[in-house]
Amino acid sequence: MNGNEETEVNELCIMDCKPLLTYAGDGALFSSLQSLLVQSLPQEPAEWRRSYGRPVKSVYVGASFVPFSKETLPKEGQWQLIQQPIFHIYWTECSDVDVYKSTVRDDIENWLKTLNQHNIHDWMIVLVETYDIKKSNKLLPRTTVLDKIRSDFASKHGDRCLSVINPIRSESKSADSWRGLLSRVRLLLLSAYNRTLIRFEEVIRDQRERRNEQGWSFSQYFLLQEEMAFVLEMLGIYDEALVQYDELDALFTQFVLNTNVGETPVWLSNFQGPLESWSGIVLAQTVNQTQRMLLRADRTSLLEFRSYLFSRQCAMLLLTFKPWEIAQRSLPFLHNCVQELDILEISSPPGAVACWVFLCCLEVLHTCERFNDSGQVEAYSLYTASLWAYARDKLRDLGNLCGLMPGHEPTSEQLHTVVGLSAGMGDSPPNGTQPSPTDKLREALSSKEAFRKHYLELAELAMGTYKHIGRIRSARLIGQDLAAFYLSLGEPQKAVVFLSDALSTCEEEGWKKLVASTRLSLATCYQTMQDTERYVKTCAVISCSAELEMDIRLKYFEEMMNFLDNVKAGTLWVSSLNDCFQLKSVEVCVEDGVLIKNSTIRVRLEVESLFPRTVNCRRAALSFSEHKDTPRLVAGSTAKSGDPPSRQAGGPRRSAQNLTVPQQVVDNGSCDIPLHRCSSEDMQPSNPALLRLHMVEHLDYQQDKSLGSANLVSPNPKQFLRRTDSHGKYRKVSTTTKADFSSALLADNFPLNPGKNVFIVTAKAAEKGLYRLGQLSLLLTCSLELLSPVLSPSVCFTVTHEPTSVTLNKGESDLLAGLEQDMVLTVHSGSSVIEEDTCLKLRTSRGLQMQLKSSSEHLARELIVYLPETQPFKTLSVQLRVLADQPPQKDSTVIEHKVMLSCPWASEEKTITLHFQPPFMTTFRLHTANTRKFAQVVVSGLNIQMLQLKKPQLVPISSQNIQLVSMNPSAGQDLVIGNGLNVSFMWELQLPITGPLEEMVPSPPPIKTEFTMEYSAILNSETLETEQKTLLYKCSFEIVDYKTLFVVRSRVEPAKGSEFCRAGTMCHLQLHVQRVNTSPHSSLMYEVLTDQTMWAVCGKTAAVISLDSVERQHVTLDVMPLIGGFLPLPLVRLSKYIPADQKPSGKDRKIDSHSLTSHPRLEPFSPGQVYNCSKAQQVHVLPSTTASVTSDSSLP
Amino acid sequence: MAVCVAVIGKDNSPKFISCLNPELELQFHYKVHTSLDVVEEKLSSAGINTGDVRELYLGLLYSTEEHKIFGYVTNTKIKFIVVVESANTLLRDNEVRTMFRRLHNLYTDVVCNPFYIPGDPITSKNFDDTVKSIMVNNI
Repeated sequence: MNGNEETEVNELCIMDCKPLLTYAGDGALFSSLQSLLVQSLPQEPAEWRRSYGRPVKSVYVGASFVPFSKETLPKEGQWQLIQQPIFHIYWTECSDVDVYKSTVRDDIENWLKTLNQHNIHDWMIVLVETYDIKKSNKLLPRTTVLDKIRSDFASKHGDRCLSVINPIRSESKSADSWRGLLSRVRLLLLSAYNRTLIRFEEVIRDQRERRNEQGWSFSQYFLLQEEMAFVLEMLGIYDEALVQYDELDALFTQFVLNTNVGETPVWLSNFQGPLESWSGIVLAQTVNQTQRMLLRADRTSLLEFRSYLFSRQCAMLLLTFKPWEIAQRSLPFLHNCVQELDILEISSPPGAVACWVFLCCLEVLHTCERFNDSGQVEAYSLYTASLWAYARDKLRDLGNLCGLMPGHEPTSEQLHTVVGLSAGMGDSPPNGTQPSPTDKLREALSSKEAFRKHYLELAELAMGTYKHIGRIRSARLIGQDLAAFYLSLGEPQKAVVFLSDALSTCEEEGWKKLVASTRLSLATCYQTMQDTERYVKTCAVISCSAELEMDIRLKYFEEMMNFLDNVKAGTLWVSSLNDCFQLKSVEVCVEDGVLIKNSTIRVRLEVESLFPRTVNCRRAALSFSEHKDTPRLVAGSTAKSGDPPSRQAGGPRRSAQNLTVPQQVVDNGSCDIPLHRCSSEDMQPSNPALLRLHMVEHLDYQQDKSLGSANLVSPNPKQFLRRTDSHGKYRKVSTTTKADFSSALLADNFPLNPGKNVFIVTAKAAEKGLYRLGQLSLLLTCSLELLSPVLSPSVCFTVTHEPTSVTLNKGESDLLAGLEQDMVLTVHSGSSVIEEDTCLKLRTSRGLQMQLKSSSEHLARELIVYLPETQPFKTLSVQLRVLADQPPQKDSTVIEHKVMLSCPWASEEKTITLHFQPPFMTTFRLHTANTRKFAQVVVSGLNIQMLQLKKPQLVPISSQNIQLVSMNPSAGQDLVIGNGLNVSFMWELQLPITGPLEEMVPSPPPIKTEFTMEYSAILNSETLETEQKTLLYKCSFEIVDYKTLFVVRSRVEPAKGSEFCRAGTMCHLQLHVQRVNTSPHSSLMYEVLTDQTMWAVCGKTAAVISLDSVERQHVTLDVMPLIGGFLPLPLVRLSKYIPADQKPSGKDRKIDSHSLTSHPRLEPFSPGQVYNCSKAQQVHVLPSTTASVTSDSSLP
Repeated sequence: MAVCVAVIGKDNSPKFISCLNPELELQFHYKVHTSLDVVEEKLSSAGINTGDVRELYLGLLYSTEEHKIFGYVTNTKIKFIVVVESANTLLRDNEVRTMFRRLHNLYTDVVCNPFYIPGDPITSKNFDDTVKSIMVNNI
């Protein structure tokens, strides 16, 4: 480097540089054109076509001109391209060929010679002509100067010689030629660059190849290649300029990395000098020439070099309008530098690197801030956030180093450090509306106050930017740092805000370790704030954090207990249960599947205590509320009967249900199935990955119907393959509010040991209904209440109420009277308990007796039944013997009895109606044979229950001297009755010989008789085995009209002269009436009743006869049979004839008093008073005369 | 050579974190947790152009002076995070990829265990041992 350059300004602005061109020839001419040329050249872009297929760039070329001289020409090995003329133009105005030949030609020759000597081929000759109207009119121009020049110098490069009409003299006509000149200059200039740069690249490549040789220096190489970047920058091809710098960057980085494995080259050791200056980067467009010179002299430090290189890269990025890329590159750049310092083992005073990093960060950030349109902000925020954070980190480090953190006072040594660091930062650049990063850092390090202000500002900015780009976790991390800062600053309230945010973020995603560590910080804050409530709560949670060391947990546990012991009475702090306890299972203890009104509800809770020590639970309460869903109540009550035991036993079975019926269990919040129990497995949402897949077989057949493949497929794969969005599905951290605990199951004062605890909470069941368990609350000591969220899935219990009922039941068959019957008194205890010696009183209606079957006591009409102690929903059966008296039964009517039941739980007597079937009935008939009388008693069985009858007796009980002679067999077959089986008994009535006195008695008094028999039930109808016990049946009958008064005989005789009765011929009906006993009725009417199809009676069919005086009467009637055959005799009916106006006789007065009429009338006799001997007799009637055969078979 | 390996579930909760130096565990927890910011960022930006098969390897998530943090996300949104020391300049991108691929295979083995419920923290001793050996030997 020559001394000339050292005096130059330190900064070089490449933007201001323009390609350098020389002019030769007519200087005056050029000067007149120069300004126009300089001005017009960059106005239009030119296409820069380059070799090696590099992309064509559109370039605006500016130019600055210097007069041609040998000195300015580039020398071999000098590659400061931007300071070297790249293109050379010879200007002439010569229009006359002769003049040209004489002077100009030589001049050009010399000029070209010089160029050739320097191996320069980028030149151009411009002939400036004045527009000549005459000349243009010439048809055949002679050889012009231009032609001459071309033929002399540019036989190969015709385009290098150009004539142009002087635009100054004739503006209007020159435009075209001028434009031609400009584009020609641009093109040739660019091609000159192309050629030069290709050569230059070769040089660079050559240099690079030698990088491992002794004596090679990166610094020199850097400066060389940077020239390339300069040229590209000058031409406005910033991206390619950046590539040059990036290449250099990569090369250097590689060298540094290689020092790890190989030897450090000599040049690199120049960078390893101890760090003396740590001024930050300056992002400006200008090139810091001082840096370059230091570099050239190998006197630059690593940081300075890196800063310079990075600032150049940034300059290129800024020129391409990519501030975000600066931000993006900054952090890796800074990290890399810090690392390189490390690798190269460059010693630096403490804090120096931090200062440098801080300054760099701030410079980049300030640069970015200059671009404040939203698109850019969006683009760079992504990277600036971490830069802010990095700067903050560094400032914190510095603060620690210099004793500026709150709670510390800088020592004199630390103050000394500050001075040292401040000195190393160098001077701040003098451009400043805004304080430069250096100013800021100096200020921040100047005092604790300033430090705090800057630190907080940075932290806020970092957090804000992180939040803006959505990096919440990063923001929270800074927040935690900030919290620590605030805490040491003595502002725990502010710290709490940050910590709480961090806590919730970590909790949402289940980072237990982080949660625990954040809690510890929070606890410290609360302690400092003397916020006892929160402190105690936090202590509780900390002591339950399994992630922490036991001694820490114990310490906080002790803290909590201490505070809880000393707390003011009456304070109640509510905290979440789940932090300290895990509810493992809830089970409603149901005996026999039901809960009865007024009984004790017991709920068994299994809770895992996370506390490290035993805590005393003052009161555990489990709230419950009535479930309003009434239709479910039915389901609940049906479940109660028999289902719950199986469900209780079937814990695993339920989980099997989980597998098969997922949808039922997944969302069980709405109490689909009232559960009596749920465990922690049920409480967790079901894991879809654990669901059983429903697979079906699927067979593929080939065309020939043979099996191609057999697969198992899921019919509904979407259900299982559905992707659940992992975003926004964090664990909910909800605060639980205390619900209504007015109805709650309680348990008092019991210890909760670490680990599993089982306890039972109880309450009295009030009203019947379906209840759902709500929240669990555990009260520790007196003032800390831990509250769980509402249990889900819901656990329910049903309280039922059912009254006690008593029924009296018969057996399968009907109840029978007269026999001992079994009955069952059934007591259903309902929902209440029957206490021991509860007595039931039974009272029966008359004729019904009962007794306990087990008792040998006599049957009685009143019975007291003592009941044993009975549990709810049990049924008691009391066997009873019942006997309903068999009254004299003459028909089959049912006998009704009543049982009055009084029980202690009912105020009113209950009446139970019982119907007894009679097993048999007895009927009585009196039979007559002429004057003899027979009494018949028929015992008809009415029931399938068969009975054996014994000892039938008919005994007159009236005093008359009447004998009843039994005609019944005394031995032989057993007498058995049953349904449809009758037994008849017969007695002959033997009247005493009536005296004349007695004869006068108009009607004998009725005879009262009593029928008795013994009967016993037949147990077996096959063997006719009977019960031992026989029962007595009594029935009284009254015998009336037991004397025959008249005997009637009738006969049909053929008419005189004929032997036989013949149809159609008159016959005689002989009628004899005889009185056999005295009768008050002597006037009798007979009536002949005939079937009119058989008999025709001639004359009167009825007449009155009197037997007053005579014993007998004889009447003959004419009758005619109408048909032949055996015809029944016409029936003769005898009736009492009571003539009109007849005074009733004394004997008859009573009878006839009611029938005193003016008409004669008939009264029938009682059966047995008139005996018809001819009843049912038949007479043989021959057919009418037409018939030939007759026979005599008429019967008497 | 990695200093910390973490498996993060799809709900972003840690399923497994192993550090070479147990004393720094908390610090690494924070680092891994913070890296999820970038993972989410990358996933959401990648979600827009759902072309063909997504690259599971997310590359460098972020770096600090001391550490570089790399990420990898399976198709089921399980994230693997590997923290390496920045000073370890010999570690190339390819080696990090290999490390992740191995982790993925290991994780697959864990999930194939019928006794492992997906979503639970990984407690497999084999997994732990193998991860440790990956961290130490970088194989």
